Amino acid sequence: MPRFLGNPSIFVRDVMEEERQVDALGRDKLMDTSSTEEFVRVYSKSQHRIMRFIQCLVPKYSEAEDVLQETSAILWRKWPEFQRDKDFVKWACGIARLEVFRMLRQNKKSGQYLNEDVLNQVAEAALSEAVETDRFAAGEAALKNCIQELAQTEKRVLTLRYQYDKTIVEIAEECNRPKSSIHDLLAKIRARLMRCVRRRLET
Amino acid sequence: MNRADESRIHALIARLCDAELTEAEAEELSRLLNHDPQAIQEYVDLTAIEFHLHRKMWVPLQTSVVSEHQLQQILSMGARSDSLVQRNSFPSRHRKSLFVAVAASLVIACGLLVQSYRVDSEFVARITDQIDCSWGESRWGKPRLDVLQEGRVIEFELGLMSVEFGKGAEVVLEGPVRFEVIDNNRGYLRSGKLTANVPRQATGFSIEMPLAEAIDLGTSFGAYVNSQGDCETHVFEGKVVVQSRRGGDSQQWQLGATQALRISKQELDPQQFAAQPAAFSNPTNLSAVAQNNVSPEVSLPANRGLTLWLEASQRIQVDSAGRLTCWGDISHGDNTVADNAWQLDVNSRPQWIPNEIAGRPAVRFNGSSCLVTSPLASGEDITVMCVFHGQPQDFPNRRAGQLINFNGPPSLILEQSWDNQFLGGVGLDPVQNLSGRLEVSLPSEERPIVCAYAYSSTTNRSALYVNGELVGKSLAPVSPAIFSTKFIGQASGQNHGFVGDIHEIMLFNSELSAEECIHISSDLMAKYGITQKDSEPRVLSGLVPEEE
Repeated sequence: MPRFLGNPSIFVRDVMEEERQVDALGRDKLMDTSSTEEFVRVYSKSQHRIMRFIQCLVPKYSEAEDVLQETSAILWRKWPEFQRDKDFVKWACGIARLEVFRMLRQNKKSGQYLNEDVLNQVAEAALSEAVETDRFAAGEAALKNCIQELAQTEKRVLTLRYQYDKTIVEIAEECNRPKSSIHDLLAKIRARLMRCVRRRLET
Repeated sequence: MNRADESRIHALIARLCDAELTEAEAEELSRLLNHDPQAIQEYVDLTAIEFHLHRKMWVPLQTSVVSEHQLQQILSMGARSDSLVQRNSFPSRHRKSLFVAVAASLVIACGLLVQSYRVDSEFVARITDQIDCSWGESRWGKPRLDVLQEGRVIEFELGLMSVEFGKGAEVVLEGPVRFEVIDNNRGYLRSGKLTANVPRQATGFSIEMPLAEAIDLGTSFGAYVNSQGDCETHVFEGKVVVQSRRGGDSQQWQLGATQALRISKQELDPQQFAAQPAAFSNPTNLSAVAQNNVSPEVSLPANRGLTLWLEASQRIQVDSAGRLTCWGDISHGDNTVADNAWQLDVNSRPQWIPNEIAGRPAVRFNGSSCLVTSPLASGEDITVMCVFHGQPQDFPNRRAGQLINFNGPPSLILEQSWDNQFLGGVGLDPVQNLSGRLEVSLPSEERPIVCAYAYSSTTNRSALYVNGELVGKSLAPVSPAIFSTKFIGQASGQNHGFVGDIHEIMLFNSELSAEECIHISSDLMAKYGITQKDSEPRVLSGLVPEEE
């Protein structure tokens, strides 16, 4: 089974291995090399947007990565069924959506997430966003500029949180500050960045 | 989604992103988002930020080679680096000093963090004044809820609003405007007009606009964004750096005082031109645009409750077409609070005439223009003095034109009718007889008239003087006391528009004596070159108390 490890080249290698195994078993439905390459190309191009869609439903990044990994395997299995004239991201997000619900039910973590009814509403909004390629790229570029506008202390907190993957507790301990202060500060920074990105996308 | 819900949604999403959301909080967030498209969009946009931050900032340290320069950057960011030391195999002899350096930088970083919390614990921005502003529950003054948080959008159609930022910059927004508070030293002007007055401690204050950003290097500038998104920056004092935000363009220009720059979507090159201070309303800077600060030349009695004094040669602010935006209240004696009169609607502004009579300016009303003072208290006893020259034949629809209206009820009014009668009185409603009503036929001369109307409900009498002569007295049983905006040149309902010039208006919160009224009238007549022989008024109505 192919595994997505965050690097498309690793994914290609795994896909090829599976292809060889399948070939050795002599099954009828073998994917040809061009189809595999096409999948890898399309998937590589779209994976960030699929990941973004999943993360919208499962905001904790590491859990979203787990869902993406499972989703990528399903996408690979179902690739022969994909109609080439359809939108790949839309199709992939549909599968990812089912995978999110399956994971939430299986892991019995749903209590820490939005309820399914609201998640479905969120998924609709997130899907609209995911299929807009330009907006995704523009949002990313805008965020880069918006980060530059933050105060130095705010950039430092972002660095600890996202670059060094520190938890709130760890940041609070390192800075000898209450956990709630770090929470509030991060929430404030995120909200400020959101407003900044919106403004920049408006122009 | 109201503001409270929005704040709560932000807090809960933050906890969700940090994997600390409890079951109860998840239920609460679900409830807040359920079937609310705006709230869901908020959720989608905030989680997008979380996503991009992870993607943009996460670097797999195991595989990266950290250079000495990068290490310095990391140290400067105050990150703890014990894991880095191991991963990057620094020579052990350096480890101890490295650890000390990292520890020291952490202390500094945390210190800065604590300091930033202290700064942030103060206000981000707050509303300090509103002038005839269609925002919130009151059009005038400082609102009850004056604090503006980051991200607060201010949008109104008419009026002025002064906003003070946490670092000290003051911004005057002029409707129609859409503005957003970004932080304690930055705002975003989406459309409309503003003036920024920036003290030294707030240097670096910046205004973002759709196509440009203006960064202040000291003192004062104006910014304007039209409906197409074109951006103008006008520098009044000091220097401003303008940075283009058009497409991938990041050009910068430094503008000095009196310079302006326009960046538009249609024109490839930005246009430089002369700054136009008259295009911006600035209530904090009236004196800068006032005429010569000459002596009022009128001797006023002390401690008689002078509360408003408008004089056409002083403290005026006109727009680029010479129309009056603001007529400033002259501070004199016990008149310490400036209750300026305003007209922010371009189409309703009276014209300022620089040299109307005896070399003195006038404010010219055309029947549809008027001015409105900031709210001020007028008491049981009132005296209004006015120098004016009406054109009653031009009054719209042969109706009376009002010089002043207290915008009650009770409403004290002074008006001139189309057949040249002058009337004073206090009304509780439009159809009721006026209390203290006095009416007189005015001389038909091509000169201004000086009138004084004294009304006292405490002594139950009113008196009217025209060009220094008593022309009528009446009873005054109704109290005129009210805290209100006073309309000049029109009634509040946009009718009874006055046509003609007003040179000067004084309002006292007391009943001036006959001697005082005559004395001030004489001074005003001398000031405006009005001789006694011109005045031949005749009392038409009014009940004169016998003892007087």
